[in-house]
Amino acid sequence: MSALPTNRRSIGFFPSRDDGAMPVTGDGWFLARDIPLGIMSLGYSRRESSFRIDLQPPDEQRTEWLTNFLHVGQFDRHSLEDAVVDFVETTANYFGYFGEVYFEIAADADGQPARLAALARGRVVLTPTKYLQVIPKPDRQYHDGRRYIAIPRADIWHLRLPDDLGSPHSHRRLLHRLTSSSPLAASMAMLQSPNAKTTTGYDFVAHRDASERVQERAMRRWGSFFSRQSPVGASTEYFYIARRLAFHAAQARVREHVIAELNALLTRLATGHAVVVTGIPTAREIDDTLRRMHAGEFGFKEALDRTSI
Amino acid sequence: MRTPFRSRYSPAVSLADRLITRFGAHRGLWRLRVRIRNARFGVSRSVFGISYSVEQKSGTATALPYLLRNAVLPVLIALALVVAMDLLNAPMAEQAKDWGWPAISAGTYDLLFQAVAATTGVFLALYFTAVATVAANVYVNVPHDIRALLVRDRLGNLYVSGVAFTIALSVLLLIAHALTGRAYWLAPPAIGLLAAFSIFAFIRLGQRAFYLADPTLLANTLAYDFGSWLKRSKAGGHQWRDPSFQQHYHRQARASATSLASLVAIADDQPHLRSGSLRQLTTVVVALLSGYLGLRDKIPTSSRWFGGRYEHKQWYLTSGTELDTATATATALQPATVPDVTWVEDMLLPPLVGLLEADLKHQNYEAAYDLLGKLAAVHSRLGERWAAPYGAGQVACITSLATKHLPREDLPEPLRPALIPGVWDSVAMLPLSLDLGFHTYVTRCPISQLSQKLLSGDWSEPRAPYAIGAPREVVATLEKIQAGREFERAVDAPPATQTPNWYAREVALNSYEHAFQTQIIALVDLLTAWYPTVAQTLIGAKQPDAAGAVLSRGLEAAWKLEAHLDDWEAIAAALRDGPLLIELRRPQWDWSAIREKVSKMQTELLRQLADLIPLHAARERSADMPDYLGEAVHRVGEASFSALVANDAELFCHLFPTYFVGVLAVVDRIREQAADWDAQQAATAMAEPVADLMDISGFALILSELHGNPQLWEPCETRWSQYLQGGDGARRLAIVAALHNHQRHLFALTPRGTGRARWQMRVGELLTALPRGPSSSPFDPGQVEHPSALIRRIAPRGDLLGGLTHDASDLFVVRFVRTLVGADQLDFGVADWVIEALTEGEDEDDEEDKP
Repeated sequence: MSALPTNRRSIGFFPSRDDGAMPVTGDGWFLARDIPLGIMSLGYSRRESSFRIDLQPPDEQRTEWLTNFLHVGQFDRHSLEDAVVDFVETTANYFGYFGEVYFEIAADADGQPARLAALARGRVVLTPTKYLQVIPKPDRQYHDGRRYIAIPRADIWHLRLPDDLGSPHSHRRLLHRLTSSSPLAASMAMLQSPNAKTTTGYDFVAHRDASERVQERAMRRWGSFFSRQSPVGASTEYFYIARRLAFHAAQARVREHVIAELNALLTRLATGHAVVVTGIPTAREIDDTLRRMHAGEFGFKEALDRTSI
Repeated sequence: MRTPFRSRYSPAVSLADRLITRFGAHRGLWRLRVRIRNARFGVSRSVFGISYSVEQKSGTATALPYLLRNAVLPVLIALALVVAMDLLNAPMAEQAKDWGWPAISAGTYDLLFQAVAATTGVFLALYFTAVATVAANVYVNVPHDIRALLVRDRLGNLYVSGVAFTIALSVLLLIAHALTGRAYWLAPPAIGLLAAFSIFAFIRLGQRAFYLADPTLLANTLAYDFGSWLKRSKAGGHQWRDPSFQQHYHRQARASATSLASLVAIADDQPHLRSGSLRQLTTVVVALLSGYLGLRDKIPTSSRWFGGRYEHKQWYLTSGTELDTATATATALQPATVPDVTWVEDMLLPPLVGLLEADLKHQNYEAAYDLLGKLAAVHSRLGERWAAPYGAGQVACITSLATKHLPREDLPEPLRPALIPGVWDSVAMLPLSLDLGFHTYVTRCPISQLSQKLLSGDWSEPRAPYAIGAPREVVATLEKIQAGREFERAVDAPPATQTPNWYAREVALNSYEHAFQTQIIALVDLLTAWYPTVAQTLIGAKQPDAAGAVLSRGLEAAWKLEAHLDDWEAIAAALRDGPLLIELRRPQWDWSAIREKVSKMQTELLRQLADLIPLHAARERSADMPDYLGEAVHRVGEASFSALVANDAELFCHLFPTYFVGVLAVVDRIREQAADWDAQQAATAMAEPVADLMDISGFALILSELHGNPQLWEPCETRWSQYLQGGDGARRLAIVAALHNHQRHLFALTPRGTGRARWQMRVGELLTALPRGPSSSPFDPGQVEHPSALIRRIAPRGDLLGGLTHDASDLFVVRFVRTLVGADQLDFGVADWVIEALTEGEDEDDEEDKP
């Protein structure tokens, strides 16, 4: 894989953690981590299944360009399929933590779009003509004291969660809510205090049950993330399976949204091509499976088989 | 699934949940929560106190009609007199004027009320004196809770209230008159009415005071109290889901049950109560238990009504959250509290069993018999509520008592010996009652109906799990479904993720199947082990009548169990009907093993029955006692025939010798009774058992040939030879010939003829089913293909009338008895053509049969 072009405007850096923001931990972290998990077919299952990623119309030169263009992940990718999978997973990872991601479309020496470069975590301000990448205060000392970087609007590709999964802001609020309502952390703080026994009326079960209900309600649009390995609270096994399927559907919705946005970008860049993903259950199909399972047409095993990637 | 964008929280998530989640780490929240909870509990408690008080008052008011019924007539008469006096008042006033009487004075008015107050006060004092006397004499040695019942007597309380009110009103009227100087015209008649009521009601109450000497009469009050707490604990009762209220109901009901148990113990202790009173008391306790068992599954399975016992958890089998908490706080795992489901049964059954023990100990068999009858009703209800394992424990307890206390042969005979087998018969009814109760429930509530209810129920409704009358295990599953639905509603789950009814149906029916299997295994184990074991013990203790009673019930139980197994298998199949969508652990059924168990039990009981025949035969017949000898001989005869058909030589060899002895003993008994009968009638009665025996012997001959098993014939040949060829052989042979001859010339259908015809038809069917050779004409079914010439000779033709052409007893006579020394001179009543048919070519047959 070639090195990044020199005409990238944004600055890549690892933001400092002392910005006062609450870290995403507990169940918030589980959700963020699980959103990209298995969102595309895994390598070993890809080889066994009918999963395919094609560029339409086929074009070898454009395929090679797109493979380089989408290199936003950690590993070199040598095929379009690997590059798209990696790109979707990386984007979903950003969605998981921030609900959105800004990519700079970096051009090569000829001024042609060559690579995508993700903007580091931090504020991005939109002005009438430009995007401003705001450099957090603690990090400015490492970047010649610069407060922001101005990037032309045409060079920024802003991706955000599909609307039916909430806005980036509401998603971040969801993560914080999940983090703060993780029952065990609060309980531990309470129970580990030396005078725990004199803490009048503390009811661990009530605390845990209330947290679980609040969390499940907050996760209504997503379903239950995979890290929940057993039914929550008093819920049934059916609810557990159905919520897993709902999470599969939400992931499929994210995947389809990212691919649609990518194709929109390709149209904007006037390439005349589109990426087509086949052989993987769509959100509509998963919704239909859930509906039919609810109607009693088949059971858990078949529903999970139908929706597995 | 696309879901519309919504506000942060829907109203489904409660404010409490949000506050706890948001401020859970602050102690203030939890302190506030406790205060709110206490305040809420205080309000609920006040509401409950008011409703309870109203209920008590209305309960007391129900005693009013009783008092009124007894007081109303005198009061009406008094009223009529007053009216009459009023009507006559004007002429009387005129008359009084004529006589010179003065007008009613204020002093008289006051005096009247003073007199009423004083008189009713005396009644009040008299009543309390009577109660105190009873309490001092009868209740001096009883626990306080029993004594307290006296004070709670509803009738007495109402009377005391009424009299106290009359006194108070009189006093107030006097005060008002003293202060204002005004006399109310309505006051004298009103006070007069109340005073009249007090006087006449006291007569009834005074009579009743004598009955207070019998504390068992107070049992109804306790049963009423228990029922009222039970009613509140049921789904839909006041605060039925609140653990504090559940605990309270449990405590109160436990107090009532404890008092009831004490009452039984007191009644058992005091000889003057050990008759009608005790019987009435046990009726109340049994009715309460039966009623309770009927309603028990309408109480939440984890309700504190059931109290609780601790069950310690294991560190390596505990949930992660609890493990983390215990690790982080360096504390032990908290033990789990499991409901003590049988606490009521455990409190009320032991006193009854204790009573039974006392009855048996004091040889009060009639009372024991009566009590066992009542206990059978409780066992039936236990079976109905799927408590067979618990019922089995009770049966074992009662059996050990009966074995310990019922007299052995070495003890003097009781006055009415028939009662002992009667008591054993009642004990033997207990396991059967469990089975019948269970079977009644499962057949009364078809699976299709249950399935439909499960599919159509609204499982988010808190009372729904208790409404369908399902067994406890299914209720527990439905409670989980209901809790799940409640959770889903709280988290505002989208419709497709809400637990559907097909899921509720499938998991509930799976629970049903598991519990169903547990009950069946418990019942089959109990029944197949109890009857043979107890019968063997009784045979060993030389109690043939008691053993006969147990075996009789045992055979009934085996027959019923066999029939029930067909129903149960159909139910188990119905439980798997419909699409099975979830992978659940489902019970494995081995119906053939269960049937084999029942069949073995039946065979064992028949063996024991056969072993009993000589013991029965050695005893004198008693009209008070059931005919155990006759029953045993009859059943062993039937079993011998079945063993022949099944080619079970080992069983037949065990049964036939005692059957032979039994038949002879029966004939002897009939002969003794028939001494003064008409000769024809007496001969017929005596010939019947002999005809059975000769038929069985004939069938042994036929079936030994059919099965190619000479062992089937050997016991017959040996027994008959010993009997007919001994010292008295010639006389016996003549009697047998005479009886057979008589029987063969009867034209009427005898009582046992139908049974023998059934045997004959069965053997005919077996022979008809044999393979046949080629047919020579349309009317010739072909020769039967069988190595035995006898079988080929007697096999039916196979046409529509196909059946044995010869009687088995004739065959037995012709082929065996007539070959004995001296028999050729006797007339056995076998027709010549039959003899010819059965002997024609016999030599060739024998030659042919030789290997």
